[in-house]
Amino acid sequence: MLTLALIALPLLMSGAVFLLGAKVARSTAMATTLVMLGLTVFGAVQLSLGKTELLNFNQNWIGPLGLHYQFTLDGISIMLALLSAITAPLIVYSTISKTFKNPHIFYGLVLLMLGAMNGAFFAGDGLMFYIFYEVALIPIYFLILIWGRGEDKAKVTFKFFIYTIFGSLFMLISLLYVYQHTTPRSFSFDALYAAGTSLSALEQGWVFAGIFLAFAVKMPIFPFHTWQPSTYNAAPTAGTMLLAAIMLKMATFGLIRIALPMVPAGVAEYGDWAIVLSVIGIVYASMMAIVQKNFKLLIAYSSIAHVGLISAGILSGNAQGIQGGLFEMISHGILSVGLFFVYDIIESRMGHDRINEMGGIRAVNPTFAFLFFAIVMGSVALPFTSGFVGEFLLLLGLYQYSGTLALVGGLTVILGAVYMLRSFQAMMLGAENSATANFAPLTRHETILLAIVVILVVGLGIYSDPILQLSNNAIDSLLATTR
Amino acid sequence: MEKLVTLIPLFPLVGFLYIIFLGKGLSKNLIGGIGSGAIFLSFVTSIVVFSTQLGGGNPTIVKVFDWITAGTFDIDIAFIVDPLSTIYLLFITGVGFLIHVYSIGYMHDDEGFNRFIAYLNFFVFFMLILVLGDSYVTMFVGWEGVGLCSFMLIGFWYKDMKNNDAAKKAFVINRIGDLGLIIGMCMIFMQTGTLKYDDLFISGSEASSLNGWYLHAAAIFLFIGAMGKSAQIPLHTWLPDAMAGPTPVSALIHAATMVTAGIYMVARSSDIFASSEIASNVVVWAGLLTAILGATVALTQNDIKKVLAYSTVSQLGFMFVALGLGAYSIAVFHVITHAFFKALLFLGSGSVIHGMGGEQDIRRMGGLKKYMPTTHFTFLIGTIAISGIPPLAGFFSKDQIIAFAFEENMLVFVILSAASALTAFYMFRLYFLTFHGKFRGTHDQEHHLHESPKVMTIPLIVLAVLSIFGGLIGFPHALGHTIHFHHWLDHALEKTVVMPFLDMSLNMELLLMLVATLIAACSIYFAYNKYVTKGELALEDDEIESGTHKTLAAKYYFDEIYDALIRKPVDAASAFFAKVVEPTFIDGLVKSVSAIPTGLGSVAKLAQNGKMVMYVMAMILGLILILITLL
Amino acid sequence: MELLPNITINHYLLVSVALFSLGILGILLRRNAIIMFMCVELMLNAVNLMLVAFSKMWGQTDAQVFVFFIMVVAAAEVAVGLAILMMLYRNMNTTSTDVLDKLKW
Repeated sequence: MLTLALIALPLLMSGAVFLLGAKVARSTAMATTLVMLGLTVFGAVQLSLGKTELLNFNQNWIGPLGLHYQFTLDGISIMLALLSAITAPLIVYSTISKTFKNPHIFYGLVLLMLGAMNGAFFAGDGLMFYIFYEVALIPIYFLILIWGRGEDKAKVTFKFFIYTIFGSLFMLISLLYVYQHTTPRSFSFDALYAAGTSLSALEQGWVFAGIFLAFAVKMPIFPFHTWQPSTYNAAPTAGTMLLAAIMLKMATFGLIRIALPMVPAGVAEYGDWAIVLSVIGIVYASMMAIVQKNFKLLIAYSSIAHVGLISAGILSGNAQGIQGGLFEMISHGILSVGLFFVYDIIESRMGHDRINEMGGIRAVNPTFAFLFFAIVMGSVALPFTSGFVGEFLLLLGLYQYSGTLALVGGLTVILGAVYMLRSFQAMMLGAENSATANFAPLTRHETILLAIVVILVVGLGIYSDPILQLSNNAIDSLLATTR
Repeated sequence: MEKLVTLIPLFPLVGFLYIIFLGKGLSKNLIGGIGSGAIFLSFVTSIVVFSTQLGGGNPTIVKVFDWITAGTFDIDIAFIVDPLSTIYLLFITGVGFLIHVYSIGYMHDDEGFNRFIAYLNFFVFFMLILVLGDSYVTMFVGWEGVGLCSFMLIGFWYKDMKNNDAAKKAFVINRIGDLGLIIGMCMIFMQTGTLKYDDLFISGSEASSLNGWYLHAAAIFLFIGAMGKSAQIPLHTWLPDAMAGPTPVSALIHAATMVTAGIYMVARSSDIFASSEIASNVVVWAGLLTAILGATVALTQNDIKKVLAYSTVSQLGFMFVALGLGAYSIAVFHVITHAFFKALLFLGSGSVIHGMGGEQDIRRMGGLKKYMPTTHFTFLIGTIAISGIPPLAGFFSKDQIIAFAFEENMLVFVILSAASALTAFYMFRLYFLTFHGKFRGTHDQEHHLHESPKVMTIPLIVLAVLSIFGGLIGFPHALGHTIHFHHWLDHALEKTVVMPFLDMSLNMELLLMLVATLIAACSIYFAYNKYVTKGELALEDDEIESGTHKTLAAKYYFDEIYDALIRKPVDAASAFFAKVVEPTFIDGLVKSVSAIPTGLGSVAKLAQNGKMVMYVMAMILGLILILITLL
Repeated sequence: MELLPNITINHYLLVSVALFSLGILGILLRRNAIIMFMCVELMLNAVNLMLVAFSKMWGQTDAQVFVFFIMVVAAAEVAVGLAILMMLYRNMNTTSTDVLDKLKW
């Protein structure tokens, strides 16, 4: 029931926001996300106490085809639920001083998207996952199209939409192929796992290829990433946050939920190319980030690099890689919100985000510089920030798969420092100049939001064990079934 | 008693948080008091904890809380109390306290005073975590943390972009080493399933399950980490640039404590290094190369802090030679004596810079002896100590490294002796040019010259005393004393392997000491002859003619080579990716895929020409076709 | 059928085919939309005729119901179609389908 509530509540509230109109839209959305946060924390407590009766929901949808409304909250999906529950209020909060045209539609779409993404995270049924995975695309399409910026936003959004839909089709084909082998026909994950693992390794390899292709577009993994920087750039900041913080995690989550348990032999024997692509992407995107002149594009490319590491770590298929992947998803989500909010602050004051045309902001606004610096340190995975726990476990996992790839992927440790520090110094340090001398101080809500992000980043980095413990057992049992 | 160890890093952390968040509006003296008070409390606690280890080493793990659990990977925030960590504790907090006190005077007029003291506290916190961590991962927390503080403190005067560049360079080069360390940790975990010292070396002996090329590779990767942090060639270029930070920072971080973290880590991993001859040889030769190259570059530098920086690089090389030869406790001994006299020298140079109103070029100094007597006297003690004149601290530690080299490898011995001779020469060159002769600065500077306040000179005096007597803890065997220090420390380090022990005749050892002292004395005489008797001065930049001198003054062109070999190619490749690969190939591929339906459509649309007659004709033809096939 | 006993179903079919062919030819050969429209009606009526003829032959009324439907739909179509043509003529001053070819890709 709890899982159903976490999906239904945002969906219903999105309808309510549409109807209630512009005036109460933001406060309704804020309240909804806070209730969701409460429910998710409650769910996490239930899970850690071992009480699962509230966490599973199963109803027939189309019986003869084996389709179910099946939603579960287990040790793996709770991590994603927490991610979405923590970042959603932050994202809504980040828009608090903004004025949109038609705010009720804006916030309605945001809630719709949250509901759809929760649906994908909780799905216990392959087709449910697929449907929610696609549904989440619709609100973000309109969010970017209507509230985005730039002349070519229609073109950019179109590319993004078609690209991801096209990629997803391969997942559908893969799922249908495995579905063909279930007896009796069922799309529930348990049935799909059983059918998938009984396929020959080569078949599993092809099924995996289809699934990975879909996720590679969404994450995105090199070389399927070209939609991402332009889309992030065109989207309104809240939309970018939704995309980077939560939406792409559907794909990395899908790797754990679908690819690893359903076609383990395919991943193990024919998955090398996917890991190699992920690792290439880490270095490639880092190098792209080094030469970016706009801060938002730089964050976009750094996101590709981080996601590449997540993907590579998860696909190495050991406890450290998967655990690190899950933790890094949360960490990356929070950091994305922080970084894009920093971008928003800078952009709203400077009117642009060209890195080289700033400088000296720290001298004018030390508080902002301090908070920004803390987020940068999280992003370069300094120990005692959440980034480190995830990244270290990922590298440890990847190393057990291949030392060489870990060494290459580990270059992110160096290159990440290069591009993050380079941009931080160019924007914030140095003497103030005429462009930055009047950089307005942070408003109260900006300070609060950044402070929350910093506290989360540092808090999760130091006291990470409780979070890791949530998923430990689930990962053990997942690995037990794949062996 | 051991439980108290938790408090040791806590004091500086609280100090940092208090000053950063609540320090606004407090007077500078109060802030300075809080900052140094926190370190002093740590120091006192460290003495208490240290005393538990005096009986011969009794390693204890104090667990604070669980940190990371993933499968079989399990890391706690926990502290290890053993001779190695406690001896580090003592000199980190001890020297750290003195430098905090000194900073109160040195930074008094700086607008960022609060920030400075807070950062120093934060640094000490991470440094303590580094040496107290009970596993490689916890050590890595401190390892990266001190890198962060180093970054913040090098770029302390952030309005000058040159400082920021130096800070970034330090951070990035350190990160190269860190990657090596991460890979080394991965290797150890893969083979042994744990990263805790307790399982690896102390209670368990999992480290012995490392074998084959894995052992050597793991050790070498760990050493790459040490190279980054401890500025060994080829990852040394950040350290001289790091002198952009305020002088107390150079003293604390870039001479006494942080840069010796690499020595700590290798000593901690002594079981691994001792069983890998290849890795040990790498350590010896990297250290040797660093010792001699650092010393030669120091001959030609004219910035008072740059000379000391290269001297630090060179001395770190000495320590690594000792580590590579298996003399772990002697390396740690040299770390301690070096911390005393190098901190003293840096603080002394800070006092000089303070008196000169920010001038750092020794060509603009001279004759400061009469203006700054205390600084002069303490600086002289530091110079004698580092040159290896008995009975000062540097003599004992350096002499034992050289004696060890004599036993193990003649070539190493010769090169080390040469480096040692150069050390005495460039240090006295620095001393004579700064304090003797005539004043060469501007009239304003001369007018401004003054001895530093007491808050700065008292730490100098304390450090000078330590530089004189600090060597006595490792009093050599030959002079009729059993070497308690080494026995005690070796006992803690040696678990699965037996440490090599200096085993030479008494006469031989005495002879070596005599030779070493004579070499140092000769060097000093040459320096005296050149710079005092003949009154020669350091050349101005455009007067340098000989090729060797140019190469040395340009620090063997390391920066230029890296620029050409690494930075520029990476930048160029990135630009190439961004300008050519991404739009043309990758996005081009995407576009060509999307061109398929577009192309097909553009052919098919020709049928849709708007002529109604054509449509009807097609319809009828279709009908006829269907009829024909059906009939 | 009693009046003209010699007329068999074949005759009806022939007439119907003739009408239908005339309709097709008209559509193919003429360019005036109104004429083409009339030709379409001609084709529809050819079909109607056939339906009625078969209906009579089998003695079932289903087809005749169809015919009524077709006539009603045709009438509605004419109403809409002619209205469109009127508008076209007003705007374009022509009803020639050679000119009216804007409705493409």
